[in-house]
Amino acid sequence: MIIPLGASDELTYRRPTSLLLFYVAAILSAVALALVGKASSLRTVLLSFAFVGAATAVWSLLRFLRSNDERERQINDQALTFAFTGTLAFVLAIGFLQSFGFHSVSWWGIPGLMVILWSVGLILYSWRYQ
Amino acid sequence: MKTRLRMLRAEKEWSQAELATHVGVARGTINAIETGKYDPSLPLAFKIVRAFGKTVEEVFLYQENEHPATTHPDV
Repeated sequence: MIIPLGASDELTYRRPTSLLLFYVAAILSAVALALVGKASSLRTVLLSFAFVGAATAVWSLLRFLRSNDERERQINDQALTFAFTGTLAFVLAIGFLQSFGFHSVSWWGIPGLMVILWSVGLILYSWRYQ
Repeated sequence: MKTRLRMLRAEKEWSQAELATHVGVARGTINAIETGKYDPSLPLAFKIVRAFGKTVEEVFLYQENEHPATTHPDV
């Protein structure tokens, strides 16, 4: 039996292209940032490229998240809550330890930790439904 | 929540992916509903039962004393 295709064509075709665009843009942006220190003459061009790449990555990620269905949105909400509370606990713990002489942590670690915890949360909460 | 989705799909010879395409969700969501791991929202439940030409009560079997599966927050 042939089932008429509807809005869910989006799920099949839009999602993979959005994810692919996200990965490509994020990698290009990271490479451009890494090259800024090595090619100082191209600093402005590389920074502009990195900014455009990061903006494209964020846009394609949001596009992907918009195409999620209700269960996937629920998993994503739970994963974001996990990442937020985990990062908050980490920051508070580091702040507490620093009062006893613990060395400072780069602020770049915070968004990195959030992304890592978000990914871990996505995996953990996806298991619930399998 | 128990469902008769698997049986109804078999009658129509639809795969999970085909039903998912029809109602506009991911295949994993249909699988989670079939295995009782996820309770769909009302709009999704209506989309599913209409795909089979049935009523909600004919597809989803709710028991008062059952433990609710993870449910959509809007329900």
